Formats: sequence, C-alpha cells, structure tokens
Amino acid sequence: MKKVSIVLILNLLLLSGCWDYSEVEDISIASTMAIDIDKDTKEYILNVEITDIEGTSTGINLIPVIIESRGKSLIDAARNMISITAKTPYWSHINIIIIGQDLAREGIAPVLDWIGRNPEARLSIKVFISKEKTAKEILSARQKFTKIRTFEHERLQDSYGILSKLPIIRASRVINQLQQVELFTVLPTVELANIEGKTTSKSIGAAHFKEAKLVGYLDPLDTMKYLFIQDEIEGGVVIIPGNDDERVSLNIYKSKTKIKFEFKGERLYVDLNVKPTVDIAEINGEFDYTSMAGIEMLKEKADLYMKNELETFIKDVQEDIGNDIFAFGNKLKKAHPDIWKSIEGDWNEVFREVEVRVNCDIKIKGSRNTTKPIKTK
Amino acid sequence: MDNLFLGDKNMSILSYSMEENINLFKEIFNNDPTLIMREFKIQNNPNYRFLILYLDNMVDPNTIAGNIIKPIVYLDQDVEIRNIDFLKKQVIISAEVKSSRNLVDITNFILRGDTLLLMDESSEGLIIDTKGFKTRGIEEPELEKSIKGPREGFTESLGDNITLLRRKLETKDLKFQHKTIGTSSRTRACITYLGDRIDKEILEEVNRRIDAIQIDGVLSVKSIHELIDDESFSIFEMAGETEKPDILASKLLEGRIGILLDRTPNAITIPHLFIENFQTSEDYYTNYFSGTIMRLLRIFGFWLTISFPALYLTLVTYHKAVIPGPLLLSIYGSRQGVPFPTIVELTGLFIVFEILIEAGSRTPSYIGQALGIVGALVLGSTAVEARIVSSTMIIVVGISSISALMLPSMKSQILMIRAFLLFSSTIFGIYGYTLAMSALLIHLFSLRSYGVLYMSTMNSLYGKDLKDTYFRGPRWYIENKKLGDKK
Repeated sequence: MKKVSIVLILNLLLLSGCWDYSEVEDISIASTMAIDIDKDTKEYILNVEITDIEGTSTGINLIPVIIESRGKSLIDAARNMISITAKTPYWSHINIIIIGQDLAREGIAPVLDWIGRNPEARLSIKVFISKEKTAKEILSARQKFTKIRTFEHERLQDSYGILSKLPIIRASRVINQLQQVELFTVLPTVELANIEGKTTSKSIGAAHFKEAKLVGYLDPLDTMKYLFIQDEIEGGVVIIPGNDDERVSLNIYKSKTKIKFEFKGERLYVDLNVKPTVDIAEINGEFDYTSMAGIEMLKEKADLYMKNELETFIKDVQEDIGNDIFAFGNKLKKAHPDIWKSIEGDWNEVFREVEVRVNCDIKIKGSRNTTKPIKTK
Repeated sequence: MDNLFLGDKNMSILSYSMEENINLFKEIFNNDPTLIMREFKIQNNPNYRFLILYLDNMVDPNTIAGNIIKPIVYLDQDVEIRNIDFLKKQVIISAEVKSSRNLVDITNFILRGDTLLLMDESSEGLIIDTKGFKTRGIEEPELEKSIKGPREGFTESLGDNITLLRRKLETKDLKFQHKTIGTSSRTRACITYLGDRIDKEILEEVNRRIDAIQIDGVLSVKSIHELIDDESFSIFEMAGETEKPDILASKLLEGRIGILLDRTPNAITIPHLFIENFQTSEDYYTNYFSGTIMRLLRIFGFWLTISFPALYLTLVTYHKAVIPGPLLLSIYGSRQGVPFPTIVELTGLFIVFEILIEAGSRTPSYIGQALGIVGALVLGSTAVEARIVSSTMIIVVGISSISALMLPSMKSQILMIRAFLLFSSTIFGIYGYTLAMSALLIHLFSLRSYGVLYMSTMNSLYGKDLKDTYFRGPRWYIENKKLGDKK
C-alpha cells in the first residue's frame, strides 16, 4: 500500500508538473498590435511591435521591430507570425490595440472576440481607432520619447485624465457594450502628426460606432462634451468667454454628472445636472474675475455657457448622427425598466425626439497662486 | 557506575597499606605518564609517610607545594597524628578538602584536577582542591556580537560561566542543579532557573530527560539537546543556544530553563519559540521603535530569503504576465545567451554561494579577504560577462543570501526551506509555492518545544499577546510577559 501511494504521488509530480514551464528568452514579447484588413482578399493584416534586445557595453538596448503577417482569421495571422519570429509571440504585455479605419468600418467584433478568448491577452488592453487609412501607419510612426510604444502609453494613461479630450476604454468594456442592444460604442482615435519633420502619432478625439461598425468621428472638443455627459471627466480645461473678448480658462478638478428621466405626456425628458469643481487657471484680460462680484459673474457666465454648449452638442448628435452614443437608453433601462419596455422597439426614433435639459452648477474654488490679473497700464 | 571498576569489588575502596594503594593507582592510571606520585615525610620525624597523587598540568603546583607539602613537612616533630582527619582540619590550607575511601570518587576527582593525599596506615584519602588548568579569558562571542549592551561571553569553564550568570542575577531564587553526563567524558551540566517563576512541570520533564541520557561523550550542547528535544524529525531547533550571559539571564527572567555545560561556551535555553530566532539582545538595548523596526525587518528578511528565488523562478517561467513590461524586458535582455535553464542557473549559483561562505568560515582571515575578491568580483562579474549566468540572477541570489545572514541561528533551516520552496515552485509554479508555504506553516504550528507551542501566540490577533513577538513593545508594557500557552 505504501509503495503504491509513493508511486501515485510521484506520478502526480511527474505528470502534472511543469506543463506551463517556459524560459523568458523563448518568447518574443509583443507590446503593441495594429490590425488592418485587406479589402480585396478579406485577409486580416496583423502588425505587431516586438521588442528585440541588443547588448551594449553598458547595458541593454531595446529595439522595437515591427512584424507583419496575414491570415484568414486573426488567430491564423497570429500563428503565421511564428514563421517569421521563430519564437511564440507573448500577448500578455500588449497594452494597446490600434484598429485601422477600413477594419473599423467593416466591424470590430472579430478583433474583440479574439482578444476576449485569448488566455494570454489582458482584457485591460486599450482599444484605439486609427484615423489614418491603416493602423500600420500609426505603428510605424516613430515615438517621441520612448522606443517602445507601450511604455509611452502606459504613462500617458494617467495624463489623459488631465487632458480629458480622449475616452480611455478597455477591451472588456467594449466587449460588454457590443453585446448590449442600442448601445453605441465610442472609442478613442489616434492620428499622425508631424513634429519637426518627423512623423509621430497623436492620440486625441473619438470615433463612434453603430453595431460594431465605425460611423463617424467626434472632434476633441466634442469628445470632452461627450465625456461630461458620460460623467467621465477627470480633469481638463474649459474656456469661458468673459467680458468683451476676454477669456477665462477654468481648470477642472472633478466633475459629477447626474442624469434623471421624466416621462410627461408621451414625451421623454432627460435632466442632466453637471457639477464641476474648478479653479481659475488663466485670465486673458484685465477684468478682475477673482473679486466677489467677479466670481459671481464668472460663475453665471460659465453655467450658461456650458449649458448652451452641451445642449447644442446633444441636439447636433440627435439630428446629425441619430445614434444614442450617450447610452441614454441603457441608463433609462436601468432606472425605469417599465418605461423602457414600452419604448424599447422604437428607441432610435424616441432618442431623436428626447428633450435634454442641462443644468450646470460650477463651483469655483479659487484662483491658484495669484488673485488679480496682471495689469499692464 | 563506572566501567573501569565493574566486576572487581576489591578495587573499589582504598587499602591500609600505602604500597598497595600505590599499585592500585598505577593500575588505574596505567600508561598515563601524567600521573605524578610524590612521597614525603615530616622534616624531623620519619615515622609518618605521606603520598600525594595528581595529574600533571591539571593542578596548580604552587598550591600543592605551599598549602599541602609545606605545612606537613614543617609539622612539629613530636606531633602525634592519630588519623587523617587531623590533617584535614588542622594542617592543610585549602578551601575545599574532602575525605574519601571510595576509589571511584577519588579517581574522578583526580581526573578533574584535584590532589589526593594519602597517609600510611590510613584507608582514607584527602581530596584537596588544587585545580589549576588554563582556561580562555572572557571574550566577546564572534557569533553574537552586539554594538550596545554587555560584551562578555561564556568561556569553556563551567565555574566561570556560573559566576558570569550569577553576576547578572543577584537573587537567591537563581538555582543550579548539577548533573554529570557522559560515561567517558563525565561532563558536568548545570540546570539553572529562577525558582520563583519556573514552570515546575517543564523543569521536572527536563530533569527526567537529562537523567535518562545514556551517552559516551558530550562535547557540545548540541549533543544534549538533540537527545532531549521533542520533535526529533523537524529541521527546526527546539532549544535555543547562546554564548552570552546577558541573553541567558533575560531568558531565565522570562521563566525559561537554562542548561550550562562544562567545557563549552554555549548555553541552552528551553523552551525555545520560533520568534526567538528573530529577537536579539539589541532589540531591548535600543529604543523600542527601532527594536520593532529591526525585528520586522528580520522577519521580512526571513520571508525574502526563503521566498525570493522561488517567486522569481515561478514568475519568470510560469507567470510572465504578472511581471511589469519594462522589468520583463530587462530580465529578457539579461537572459539572452545564457545557456542554462533558470532553475539550473539558480541552484548552481546558490551552491557556489554556499561553497564560498563555507570556505570563508573555515579559512584564516587573511585568506578570507582574498576569497571575497575571488568569489564576488572575479567569479561573479566574469560569469555575467561571459553570459554563463544572467545579471538578474546574481541580484536574486545576492539579495536572498544576504538576507539569510541576518538570521545566523537559522542558517541551515533557511537553506532547506529555500530549496524546498524552489523545488515545488519549479514543478507547480505559483501553486507549488503556495502549497509548500502552507506545508511549512502547518509544520511550524504543529511543533512543540517541551510542551509549549513553537509558534505560541504568533497567530494571535490580540495586541497583548504580540507585545514581544512581531513587535518589541516598550518595557513597561512587556514586563511580566508570559512564556506562551501550553494548550
């Protein structure tokens, strides 16, 4: 009996152990992925930035190498890559996926399906849409400060909050959104920029989708308004027109947007209460907006300005785009499931007719290091 | 009692005839040229014959000449010596004189450095204390160096050690019980404790176990506590060892039992708890904040030294997704061109490191320096440059091995635990690490040292129980602390 159990225990070690063991140097670490589609052959074109190492006398040099492969499906393309790299690409350290315009117009669902299924890939991957023709162009563009794109973007994630002109969306959220009816995904865009004669990439603005297919783009300012409505503002600057042609820039600390629905006489009203906390970051003018009266006036102007801006934006979306990119429908479904049931069928028509009433209440906390503006006279 | 005299009852007591006695001792100490016998008489009275017997170099010759021979030789010529008691009480100048006729006793005393005085036609001999062998002076122990607090350490002489201890604790409650262990070595052991706070059950148990010892020779305390410890199959020590009287005194104050052994500078303290490996006397000689920080650092160091190589291995070979990208790339870079798998690299480096330490501890200090240069600089940096090992691996092994130096009392245990964790991590990845760690903790929590739980109060959630475990509480708070629960 004892002998049998020893043999069994040994089998446990020998049969189940080590199955996942692999050395670091036997993998190639992928850091960014760009996915395009060949319109003629319907083949996926996968471009992956793989980090190569070059030993120097003082240490190691990281060299990004871009490798392209094609396949009828994404996993096929990914496997075909092994014929070039000889080592298996390792997907866990991919941080960003850039999807080309053409592919985005055809539908991004297959990409997210592959990512969701891949046990190595993380669901925290950020999805970007290339505003250029292909995603490869973005990947090939030189980075400004770091050689490996992922490193730069890892750091930028925190900074995007301060910029607030770009939604940061994880793959898990996109997958979730795509599976819900009447939900129109909004993803950040990335485009090429020319800095000192060299092409590099620039992440700003957003793209909106209908049923996983690209419909159109939002410019950076509209993206910020979109973030305000979505209650996803983490920072950013609002420029308020002051007296005459003076301008006051308000720096947002935090912002809270509450949404309420009202159903009155067969008409749906949406109440948006936006409550940003700001301070005065810059005054382009000589009027003292920091005095008691000045602040009161500034608040009044800012409240009105933001109300108008947001209401106009929503109206534009209702009329021009016609898709519920704000996910009002989804929020209504959660808040009033009974009402939602009665209008679910023709929500698109209802959305275009919804009256949105924005109410803005800005809290101005201070004026940073100085109070009065600089007077030149 | 002693093999030497078994089976020959006639030899067990002295005889009346001096010649016979001389022959007796010549037989007992045959082939032993260090036995000195000297016959002498009173200056002007040759009626009385005397004989002294001692072992050369074990005695102080001045004491023998001045306090034994001289008073007898200069005795009044018409003195009448009726029996040897007269000499004991009126002639011999010595603090300790015993009379005996038991050969076994006498032989033992002679072996210990006493001198036997025989008189013709007396079947009793006088055993006079003349011990005079060289012992080492009081020095600071190498292994338990301290920056603050007392520096003196125990020596190889039991008497000196008892004195050192007594000078720390001037109380009548400090008790000593003498035992003799070892049929050949006849080593004196001394159980010491503070009578007012000792747990009588533990004391009885220790006494019982020591009395049951049957061993030929005892040369170090390890041979004693290996014989009397519980948990003979555990890698952990169930008794503490120290070379410093102040540490022994503090353990006695906490209600522990100490065992001092003649001829070794180490003392045992029992019961021994796991946390004692992390406590140093300096914790108590410095501010309690710094004491606590240093103790937490030692506990962290213990975790680090046993776990770091295993965790590194499992992360790098099984769970690369957990390592941050830049770090993975740096490891990736350093591994380029290294021909061995990570596990071979790791175990190889550890073996080399342990060889260096072992070699260093046995070499004279002037070679030791060269060894450091050869080991660390030449071997280490060349191995990295030649891409035989990766530079990250040197860091892993370095951190792990240096942390181990913080806990010299657990050197070998750390080595074994580290290898165990490494082994299971290699086979099962992070699951293996977790399982091996659980096994280690289950083992630790099931151990008992003389009835006291080895991990006593370590799992407690009450601050009161932890006042001197993970933390070194302030004096006014840890005073009157209990030894541990016996449940």
